Amino acid sequence: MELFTIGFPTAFSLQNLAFCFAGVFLGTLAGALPGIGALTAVTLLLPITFHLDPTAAIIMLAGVYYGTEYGGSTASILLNLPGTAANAVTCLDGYPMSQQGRAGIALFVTTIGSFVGGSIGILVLLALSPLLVAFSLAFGPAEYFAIMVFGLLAAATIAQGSPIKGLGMVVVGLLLGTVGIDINSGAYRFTFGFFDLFDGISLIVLAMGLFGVTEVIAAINEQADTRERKLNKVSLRSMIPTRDDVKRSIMPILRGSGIGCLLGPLPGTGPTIASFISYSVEKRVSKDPSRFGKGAIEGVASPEASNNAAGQTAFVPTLLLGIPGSATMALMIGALMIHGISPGPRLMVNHPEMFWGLIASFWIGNVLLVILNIPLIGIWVRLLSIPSRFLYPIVVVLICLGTYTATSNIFDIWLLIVFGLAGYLMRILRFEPAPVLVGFILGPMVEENLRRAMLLADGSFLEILSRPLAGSIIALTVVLAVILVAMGVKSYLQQKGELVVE
Amino acid sequence: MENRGIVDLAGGAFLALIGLVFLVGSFDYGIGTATEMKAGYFPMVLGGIAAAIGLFIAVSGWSRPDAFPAIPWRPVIAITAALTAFALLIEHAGIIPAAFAAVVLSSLANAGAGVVSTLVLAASVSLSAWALFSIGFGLPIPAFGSLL
Repeated sequence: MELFTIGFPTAFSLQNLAFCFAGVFLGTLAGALPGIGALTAVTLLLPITFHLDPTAAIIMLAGVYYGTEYGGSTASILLNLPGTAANAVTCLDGYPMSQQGRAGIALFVTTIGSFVGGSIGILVLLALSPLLVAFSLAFGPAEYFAIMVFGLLAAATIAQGSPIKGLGMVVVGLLLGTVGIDINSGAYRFTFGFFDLFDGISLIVLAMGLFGVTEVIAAINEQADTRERKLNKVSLRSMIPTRDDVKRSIMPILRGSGIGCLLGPLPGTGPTIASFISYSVEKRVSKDPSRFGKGAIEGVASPEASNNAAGQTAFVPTLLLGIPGSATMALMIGALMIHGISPGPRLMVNHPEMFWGLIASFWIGNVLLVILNIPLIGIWVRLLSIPSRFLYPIVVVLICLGTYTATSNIFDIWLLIVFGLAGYLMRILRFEPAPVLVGFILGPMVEENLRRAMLLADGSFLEILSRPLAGSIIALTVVLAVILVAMGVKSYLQQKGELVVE
Repeated sequence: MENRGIVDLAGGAFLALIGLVFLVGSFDYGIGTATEMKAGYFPMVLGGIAAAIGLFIAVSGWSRPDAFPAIPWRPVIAITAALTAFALLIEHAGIIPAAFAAVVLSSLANAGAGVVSTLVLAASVSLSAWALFSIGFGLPIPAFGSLL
């Protein structure tokens, strides 16, 4: 009910509507450009939100986030280059469709699939929110500590690369979060003599370094390999699907949405994994799996519905528990904290206009995205033909100015260089930088809740374990850790086996 | 040439070093007890975990043959130079020279960038940066500083 009494009036105010449009527009743009994903795009826009009112800021950043998922499919289908990781699986059947002259239909189906997925995701978000709030009222510091540790472990280890390296990165993020004044004792920790570090490391500097500078260096290096691109024109007429196409896409879109809704709120999974799982589900339920990879429309419809549904439901734990499932969601929390708003169960009560306005804006944004991606598809297609060597210098200037204007402190640019180079070194050594940010955002909260919980439990960890809720979350964390260790040992032994064979 | 597990060895050692720095440093802030933790408790535990994970990665990577990847020096140096130039110029020279230098230097990351197109890009980006940030957002950054 509040959605209509508070949400839509807030979202339809001229200012919020404008920022919603700006967000989804820039999101589609960033998504369509290969090499710039949601994480980089949200990072680049984070400094601007300093100058906005918090509701407009979060509406814009969220628009960028789900907008990239729409735009990302364009590059996947037309160029066989995934615009973002969550669209990678769309290449498998989207590009063959494009080669068969069916690019228009593929783009149409992905947009409609994204819209349906997004809308179902919003409905699930609405249904889950009150349940989660009721549930979280039973949470004390011990429970928050337990669920944060679980979230950190899952976010660091499930999504990408080696789990143990992801865990290492999350710990580095937690450590970086301790830099600066300690709110309990007033001690200045790990400032290494720099006065500029007394307030801690700025989130903007860390994110810009790890996801801006690092990504630009990596993208320049990778694009050196991809030369001329051939682009087909996409006309509106070519987007009209046949009756057979429509019939084939309906069930995959619904199945994809369901999978996305399920995986979105879980830490560590999110849109990318949702799209991969729904692709493999489609392949399994299909009567003729051999069509996949050769332009099957189910193979683009389902993953695109799935990643958008997951994109929306990912906001459930982020907004209502304050626990981000991914680095992009961690940035959303960071953007709210810049304005002194802490996400959590009380967000809905304390800032109803923001909470409901944001959810209403999701719907408006999804409608805007359909308009941007069907009638205006020609713009994005032309955009893809701009050589990317013009793009990266612009991004570099945005990084510099964004970092500098946030604090007007030159020290932050030196720190940016340090994090950028460290991030690139991490990439070369096959460490993923994203978990660092999740750790960095949650670090102070983890420490605070741990301190309070241990004080209440009189220093006995057993006391915390004996609490039913905290204990079961910790048990779940241990199970997850055991599975990860088992998987690690297995792959280690396999590699060893291969060595022996060699 | 085959370096035994050099990537994980280097990465693990790097991580362990970070952990050790925080572990050692945490003792300066007082550890306290589990009931009443002082400022050093949390970083001490985490520093220890980071050092242990780093050590584990280094040791388990040791048995895996792996060549150290080639570092693409050109973009690394060009982007670092662009950021450095921006940091040196922004306060005294103003937003237009700083953005201009950043565009020119970061364009050098690509081997194929032409001189004319780079200068045109630099001019248009620095002018729009000034228009957007100094005029649009009203930030107190002059177009050209006093030193120029």
